[in-house]
Amino acid sequence: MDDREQRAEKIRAASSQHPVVRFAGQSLLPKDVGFGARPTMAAQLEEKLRALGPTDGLVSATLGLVELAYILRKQSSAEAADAILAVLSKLQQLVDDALSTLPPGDAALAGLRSERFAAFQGAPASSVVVRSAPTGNQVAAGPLARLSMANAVIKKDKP
Amino acid sequence: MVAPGGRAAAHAALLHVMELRSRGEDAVLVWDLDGTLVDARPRMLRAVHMFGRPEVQLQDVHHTWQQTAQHLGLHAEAFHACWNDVFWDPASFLLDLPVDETVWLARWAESLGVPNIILTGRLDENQSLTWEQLTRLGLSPRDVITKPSLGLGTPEFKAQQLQKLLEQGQVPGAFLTDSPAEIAAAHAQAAGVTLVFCALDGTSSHGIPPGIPLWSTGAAPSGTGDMLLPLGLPLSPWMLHATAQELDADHPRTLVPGPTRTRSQFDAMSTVMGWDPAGAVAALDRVRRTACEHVLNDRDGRARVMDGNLDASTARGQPFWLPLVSVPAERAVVLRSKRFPTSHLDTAFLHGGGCALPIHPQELPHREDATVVTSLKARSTASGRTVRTSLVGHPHALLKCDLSHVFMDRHPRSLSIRDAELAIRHSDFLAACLEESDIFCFLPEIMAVGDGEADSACVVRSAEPVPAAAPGAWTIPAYCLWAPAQSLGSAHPLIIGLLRKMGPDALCSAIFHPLIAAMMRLTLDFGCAYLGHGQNIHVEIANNGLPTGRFVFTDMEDVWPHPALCTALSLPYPVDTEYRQAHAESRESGIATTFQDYFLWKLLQPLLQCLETEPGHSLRDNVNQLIRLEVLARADTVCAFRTGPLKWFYDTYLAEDA
Repeated sequence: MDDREQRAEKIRAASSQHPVVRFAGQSLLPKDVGFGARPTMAAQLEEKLRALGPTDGLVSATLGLVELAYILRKQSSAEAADAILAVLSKLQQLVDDALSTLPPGDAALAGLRSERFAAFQGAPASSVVVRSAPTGNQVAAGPLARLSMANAVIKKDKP
Repeated sequence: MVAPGGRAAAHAALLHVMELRSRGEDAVLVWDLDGTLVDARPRMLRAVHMFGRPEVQLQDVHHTWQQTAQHLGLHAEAFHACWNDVFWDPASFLLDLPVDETVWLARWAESLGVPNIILTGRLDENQSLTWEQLTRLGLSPRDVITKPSLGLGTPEFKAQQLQKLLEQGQVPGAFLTDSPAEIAAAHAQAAGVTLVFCALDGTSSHGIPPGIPLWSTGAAPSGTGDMLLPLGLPLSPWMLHATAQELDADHPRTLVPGPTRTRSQFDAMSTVMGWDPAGAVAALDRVRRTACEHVLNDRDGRARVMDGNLDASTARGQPFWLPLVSVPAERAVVLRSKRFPTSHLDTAFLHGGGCALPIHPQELPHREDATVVTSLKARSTASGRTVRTSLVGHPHALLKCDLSHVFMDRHPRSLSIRDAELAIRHSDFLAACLEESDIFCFLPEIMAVGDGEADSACVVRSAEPVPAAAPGAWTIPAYCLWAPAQSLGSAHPLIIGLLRKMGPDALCSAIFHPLIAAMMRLTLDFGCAYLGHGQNIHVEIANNGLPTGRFVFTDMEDVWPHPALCTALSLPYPVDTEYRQAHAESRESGIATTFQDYFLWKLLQPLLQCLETEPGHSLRDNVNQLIRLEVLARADTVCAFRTGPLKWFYDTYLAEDA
């Protein structure tokens, strides 16, 4: 097993604890050990996180970490591998926090939506609503691309 | 005797500093702040009001407390004590007004790489609020020098600091101030520094040494006619540099333009610059839209329009070449609108029996065997993957590209053939729904080209709204209304400026009523879910710099007509099995959820919150009432679907009345 494979193995082992983190970790493994670049990973991860029901702020922070790890992955160095491990550890913590504080799934989203609407109508905003502060912009891939991302065929990369 | 040098003297001072820098010297422009870059009289007026004279108007106060006390017959010692508390209160600094002429010159200097240094009589403890104030003015000076203690005489302190800068190797090429005493002290103690006396209204020139040029900076913004930017703001330095780039003109280094607000001022400046007037106007039109779209991204005010790993060379409105790659006939996909003419685009996009597909430069390395056949000069909009460009037969077009390998705002942003097909289908659908002079208007997406094998497409979006706009009208994304607008030369967000200019009632008529009416038309008359956030919906601006009262909806991919509503309302949408399935599976096709999550929470909410920063100006109740009335007007539709897709609207707005 060469250095790169060892690093990949280390990341794989570290990311095996939680399904979401495992997904993120596998997506970030160095390309030369059998895992291609996964540009749609963040969108898929967001979908999984939303299903868990964390706030916008938490999803945003998590995806920020994933994005960082994605950029680090390109470096393929020992330092980058360590940094990815640190990111995965932080991800694990965020996912655990989300699971421990919020009910899962659509109920949480509906609850948040209801609180937001109350705030919109002028009621004092709860801390959940404040944490998911309004943003001006939410842009993403095309709708059908987003829709089919879970089973997306990754577009051909230049070899 | 003061020498009347006018604006030209100040411009000459800047050119002098630039010349020093071209010789390798670290020359800087040194500015006084109060009375020079900002008019502090509103702060003085606050002190007078707090002293118990609420009837006094701005024109009755002077720049110094002594002159103000004397002019108004106030007890000097008592007023000084009050002034000392109020004038230096951090809240009072928010009242300062920018001095347009001087702020413009300082911004222009920065845009050319000339550092500004602020040399002020404010105390060290005012440093942080002074930096905040300078940020609001759109300035990033190299340094702010403040006084360590009140006991130091300001003119002498400043003369010493000019000398000190010189000793540190920074050449104070020019010092601009409104204080005759500072001019006199600098003249006596800092030989070789070019001095400019900036005279605001009512500034006394007594004590100015002979030969010092005078620049009257307090004149009201001049110019009449068509306004180039919202609220008549001046073009930013970036816009003038970018216009020069668009025209492939030389960088204007030997000429210092003044604040340019109107079309006639711009025409005059174009002539001086040697630009072709018609070409310059067309270039400016692209540039001003780009600049406004990037208002959030400027000066670190990034808000939510995050770059991800988009290259800096293609982000934030920078010009770049957009490659078009050849797609052979067997893989080429060409999709056309059935309602809008597209043949004029053939020259640009049909190639060798196949098509020429625009590919974002950062996406190009991910394409196998890509052969670039030509390229277009482009600038990205705030969304990154949509770029502005000029096409043969379509001088003002937007191209939405596939960015499936680039993170932007948390996502890689793919654009598949099916996405492109939907965008065109939705454009045709909405065009068919419109009535004459409809309040709903949108930018149609009229054609797409793609590579069927790579499942990658590019959509052509017209920059001309349907129904057509009045001559001279143009649009800015709605988020520009609440974004920090210092890069546009405004210390306040545009919505605050509009509120102050128009008042709450007119603002409601020009902004909230048409915005809500148009959104409800799309939602309940056309039965569509829509991601109506502040980037997708644009405000139309008239050539007087104010809103026309129309909002333009963009990004037809983000529209989801509801199959059941289309059928019940006899809307001309071609609902097929594939669409029904996609609609049922998508999380973005819910009419009520997208209305809440995007339109209410990501457009109206930040807009209302921004307005609520102005004391006593909440329009929240009015907005809620407007939405309620628009729903009531469509009660038959809402009731018909009260157990289905419009349940939330029924429960929220109609159930009580029922």
